[in-house]
Amino acid sequence: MNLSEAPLHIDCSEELGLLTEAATNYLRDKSTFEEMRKLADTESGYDTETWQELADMGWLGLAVPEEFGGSGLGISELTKICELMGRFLFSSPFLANTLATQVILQSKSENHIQDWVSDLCSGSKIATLALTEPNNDSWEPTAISCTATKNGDSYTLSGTKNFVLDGQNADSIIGSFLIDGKPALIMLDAVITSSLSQLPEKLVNHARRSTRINFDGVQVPTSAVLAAGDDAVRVLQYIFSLTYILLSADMAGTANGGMELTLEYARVREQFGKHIGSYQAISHPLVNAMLLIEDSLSLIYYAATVFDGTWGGESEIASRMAKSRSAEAADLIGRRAIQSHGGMGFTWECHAHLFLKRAQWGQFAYGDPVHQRRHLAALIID
Amino acid sequence: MQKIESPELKEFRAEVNKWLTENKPAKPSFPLPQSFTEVGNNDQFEYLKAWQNKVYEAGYLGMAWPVEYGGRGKPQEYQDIVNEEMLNVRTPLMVNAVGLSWAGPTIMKHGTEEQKQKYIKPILTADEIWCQGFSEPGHGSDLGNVQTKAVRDPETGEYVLNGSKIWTTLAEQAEHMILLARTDPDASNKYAGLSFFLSPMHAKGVEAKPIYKISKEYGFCQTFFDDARIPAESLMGEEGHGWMIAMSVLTFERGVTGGQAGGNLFEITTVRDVHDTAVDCVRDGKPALEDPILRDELVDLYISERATRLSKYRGEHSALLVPERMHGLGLANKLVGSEGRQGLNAFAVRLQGNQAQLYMDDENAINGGLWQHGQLASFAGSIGGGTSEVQRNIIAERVLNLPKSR
Repeated sequence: MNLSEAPLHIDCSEELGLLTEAATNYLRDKSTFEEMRKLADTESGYDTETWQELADMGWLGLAVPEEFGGSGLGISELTKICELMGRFLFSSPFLANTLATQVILQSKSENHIQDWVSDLCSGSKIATLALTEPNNDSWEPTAISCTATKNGDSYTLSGTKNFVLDGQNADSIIGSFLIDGKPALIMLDAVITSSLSQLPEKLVNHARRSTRINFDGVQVPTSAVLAAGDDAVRVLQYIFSLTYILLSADMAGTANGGMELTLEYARVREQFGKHIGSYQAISHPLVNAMLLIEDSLSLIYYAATVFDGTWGGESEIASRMAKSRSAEAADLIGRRAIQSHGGMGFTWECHAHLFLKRAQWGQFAYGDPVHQRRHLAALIID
Repeated sequence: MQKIESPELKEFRAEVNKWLTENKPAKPSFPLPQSFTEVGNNDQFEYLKAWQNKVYEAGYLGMAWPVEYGGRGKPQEYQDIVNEEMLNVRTPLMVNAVGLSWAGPTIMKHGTEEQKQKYIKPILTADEIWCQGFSEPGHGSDLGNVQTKAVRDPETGEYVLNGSKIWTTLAEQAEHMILLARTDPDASNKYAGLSFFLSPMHAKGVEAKPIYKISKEYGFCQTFFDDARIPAESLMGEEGHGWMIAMSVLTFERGVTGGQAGGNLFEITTVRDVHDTAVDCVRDGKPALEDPILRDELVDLYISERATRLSKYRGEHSALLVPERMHGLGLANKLVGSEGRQGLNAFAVRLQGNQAQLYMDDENAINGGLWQHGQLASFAGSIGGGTSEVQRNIIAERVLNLPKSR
């Protein structure tokens, strides 16, 4: 297909401006390095009081229609929040819960919407997604080998999922399984979820929480099916595209945070009688990183603006482009942050590594740049 | 998604598109330059001059400049639409680039009423071409060090010029030069001794000698001043204010601020053009576009092109900018544009495999060797108007707030 050469537009509403200001102030205050490091040492990785505050500010249902208990804002606002969470290295089950909520809404399953969405927006329940699998290591939504086999009034599940974000914090897990060879989304209720044996994963990014779950023999009622067949594929594609955008935003924010930390140091640290920021060997790579971050933000905001969750067109292309470029931006600044701090950058005490580690999570979850560009090539070149 | 455009603007866009399509001049028998810095012979010059004049007479140039100086007094949006449609229709470039894009806006900002009346309209009509006298053989990136002398004759008030300027694009065709020269060698610092002139090229003692370039073309000159006398009123602003005005010129030249008359100064090469070439390229016996590495690179170029277009839009909306770097996108314009063009041309050459060795004039060269030419010509962008290295210094200092690097 030909890429659009028409003039391009990016959402820029008044609500977005107000939200940005409020969120920046809140997160800067709440997610200090000290607080973030403290949470990283806890089992859950987040603070329940803060979580309730997010709910009270309406963030947990930011892009959920008001009729279901949400704030009724859009994907652009959600994207901005994710960017700022990255900027201040904020850790919480926000992304997991938000994506799971969007899956329920997109499935259009009225019972599940009734039973869950308002609780997920109010902070009283947390849900997450189990979509990727260790036995294929694929980044594509329909690469599913876990199965759900009908057995009277229930399904018996089988197979293993990994990188289940905040699995250990979740009251419900929504997984992708094959029913008769076709994709389906199945939502496990709180009782079944709590009975699962989850293996916490040890991640490079110690501020994240995820688990590996073996579903062999787990029984769920037939009413647990959220969506099946083409419907499930549609929801999966929608949620993958949205994830590309939100992870991109998190990475661009992380990159901005890493940039600020590095600049502060380069302005004051002296070697050979000069501030190290006056050496072009330090400053020019930072300019290059800045250019990548600016590219990323432009691609991300645009992807959020045109997002409709469908595949094969502008929405998918824009979201994959954003993911490709922002992963490179976050990776570069993460590396420059450590390198520019010299010996201190190699220590646990220096904050530089926190940015590279968060960047690595965003980069390798849901497709790295090479993967995204391979899919873009099929969309644009063939 | 289309930009939201009022019905009047939509109608105007359609009108411009129609006019450009119908009036676009026929392709000449000689190759046209891809940028205003590459006008290498008189045929090209006359062809492009006639086209600029036609565009002006039709009302599509200087649209946002005041009517009293020859502009059309319309909102900037109108000129923006014309610029976009010129790229869409792929019309030839505007030859009086220095006049339209940096000398003109500078005169509008710093000039006297008299200077505006005198110079602006002939810039738009292309009747008077402008060139730029900033760089010298000894001082390119280090512009503040220029040594060309302008000594005031106390009896006549005239200035006597001695020295030499280099990389003067269109010097042979130009009527005027924006000139940075040293009026006070004993000033308190190197910047304070500089003055700014709107200097006539057809004066005794001014001589332009063409320079032969890596692309096997002419296109710029070294300009020599040998006791050349220019009138007192050539001085712009006051003596000693030259550096301030020169910096203002650079913000126009590098696209940091708006105010230019409009029109395209380059033939814009898009990734789509490279893609079209790639379809015909074979490497190691297979279509180049089956090579996974080249596919990856091509897609990455598409991403960069998209990002640059989007950043232009984002740069116009402060709410979409990073608060710590409000001027980042504007100051990065020149760097991103020139390095983007360079990368695109280099990739288009690399695609061709064995054929990449051929240059223009070889009958078997893919696309007439235009990409090979473009690759060499692209260094004009990454060196001229402040090298990419200087651009990075500027961004490091003014956007990233890092200490001065030198």
